[in-house]
Amino acid sequence: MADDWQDIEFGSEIDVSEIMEIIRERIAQKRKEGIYTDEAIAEITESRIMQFAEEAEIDSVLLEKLRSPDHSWNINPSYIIATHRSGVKAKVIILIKKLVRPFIRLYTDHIVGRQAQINQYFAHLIHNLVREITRHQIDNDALKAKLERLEREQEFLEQRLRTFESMTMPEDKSTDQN
Amino acid sequence: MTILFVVQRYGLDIAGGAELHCRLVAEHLAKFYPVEIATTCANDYLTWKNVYAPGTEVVNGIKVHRFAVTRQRPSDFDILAHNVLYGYPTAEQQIQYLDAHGPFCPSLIEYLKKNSQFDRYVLFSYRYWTTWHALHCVGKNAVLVPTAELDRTLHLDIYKKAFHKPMAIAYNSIEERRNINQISNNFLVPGLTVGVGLPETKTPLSDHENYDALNIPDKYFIYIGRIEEAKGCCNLITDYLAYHQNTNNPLALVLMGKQHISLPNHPGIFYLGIQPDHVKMSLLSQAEALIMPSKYESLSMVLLEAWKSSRPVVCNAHCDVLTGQCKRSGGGLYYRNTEEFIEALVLISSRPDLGVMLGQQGLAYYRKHYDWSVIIDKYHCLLEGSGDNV
Repeated sequence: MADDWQDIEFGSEIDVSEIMEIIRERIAQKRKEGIYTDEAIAEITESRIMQFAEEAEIDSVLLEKLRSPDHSWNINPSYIIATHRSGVKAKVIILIKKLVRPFIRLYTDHIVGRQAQINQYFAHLIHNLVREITRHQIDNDALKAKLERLEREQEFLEQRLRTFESMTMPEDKSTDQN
Repeated sequence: MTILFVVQRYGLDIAGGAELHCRLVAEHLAKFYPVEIATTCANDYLTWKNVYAPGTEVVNGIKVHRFAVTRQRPSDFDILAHNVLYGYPTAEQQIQYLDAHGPFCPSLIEYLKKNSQFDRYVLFSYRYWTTWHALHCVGKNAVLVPTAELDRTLHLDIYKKAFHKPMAIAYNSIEERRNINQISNNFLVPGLTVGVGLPETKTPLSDHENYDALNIPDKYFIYIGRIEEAKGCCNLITDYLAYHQNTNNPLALVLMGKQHISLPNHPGIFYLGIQPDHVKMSLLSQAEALIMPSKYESLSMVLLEAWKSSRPVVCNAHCDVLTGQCKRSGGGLYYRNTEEFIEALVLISSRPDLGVMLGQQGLAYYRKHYDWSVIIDKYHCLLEGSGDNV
């Protein structure tokens, strides 16, 4: 994906904003030319997913879990019973929570379990959709670039044709005059 | 004028940026004023476990008063923090968050109330329990050094109000000042963009054997700091692996600092652990560039260290402070995604002349803005209660 930068000349004083512009132009050009491997597409997909998450301001801990291969991000009825209080009060609260939990779980477990399945399905679906859209966009950009190249070639060939025609025209005119 | 610094942790072995910042400023101001420190007995910013003995000791010629933390951080702090930072917390819940965040140290605040012999207070890091309570106790005679990153904590009402309490504020960067001013609307509080200078480093690594023993390649990029997710290190590893895969002759990545995440076993990644300052500076001065992947920084002292060593930096563009520093200094590039990260690294590694020029621009910027004489002059102004109001 990356190549060297030997062809760029820098002045005596460097404006880093200009360099960043050149870097971004180069990346845009590469995107246009469709120079991407499967790994590069996977990277772009990942970075897009990250970008969406950052725009949505998702908690970074949850985001990290969402990116991990296991499903620890999903809702789970087996939560840890804890309290921020300390001392005897804390022990009493934890005991009460432990006593109450089995009754609550009797009613909530199946709902939570079903929701977890749905979450997992949608996460899988959305991730694959982003990857497919990325792939199609890259293919689309590559096709556009090819089309532009073909148009330029066609224009060149048409010009060439006109030149040849104009070269043959004077001869025809002279024949007519005679 | 006698000055008391209030800071969450203090000591020669404390590696945190804000704590080092505090110690350096205190040691330099001690040349002009009688300076003392009030701090906790903790040395771990996550647990606040008491490690130092309570009482008074002398550190580098400065009297340090230590007070015990009476409540360690609760085990469910992350859940509480999530609910407060990502929800709609009441004032009571925010105070509950502050108490849990810590360091919960009422004896330090009692000390401030009982000892009124100090003319000025310098309070470090806005987010800590000690700073918040000190602001409410001695705010009208205090200079606050917020060291604030642009994260959700800054938006909590209890902190927004606290930014109106100090007599003056020493900001770390133009971006930090803008963010705090806009979020808390504290435009009337005098302030100056100050930052911090760097410690005098001992002689650079002269013993070549030591350098060889580290067993790293001649050319490398370097990251220095806590190796943890919050500092952007997970993304740094991902980006570096992409760079390694997509580049001909990729350079190595050297990581230095305390490790909090697992690192892949990869031929291009070298983990050196915590190294002495002179080794750190020596390796930094020989690196192709320093990489700073963190999204949340109020200044980044390691960036200044890179520029002091005439080395360029490659920063996360999502951090407005780092991007602003790069643009103002001309000392580094900034990336928004993996592709830009790769191109920036390839550019710097393939054009050493550019690295030298960026490093020189960084050095000039460092000398102009972060020389200790410049920093201390600004503190003199702030301690006298003057600053440029926006």
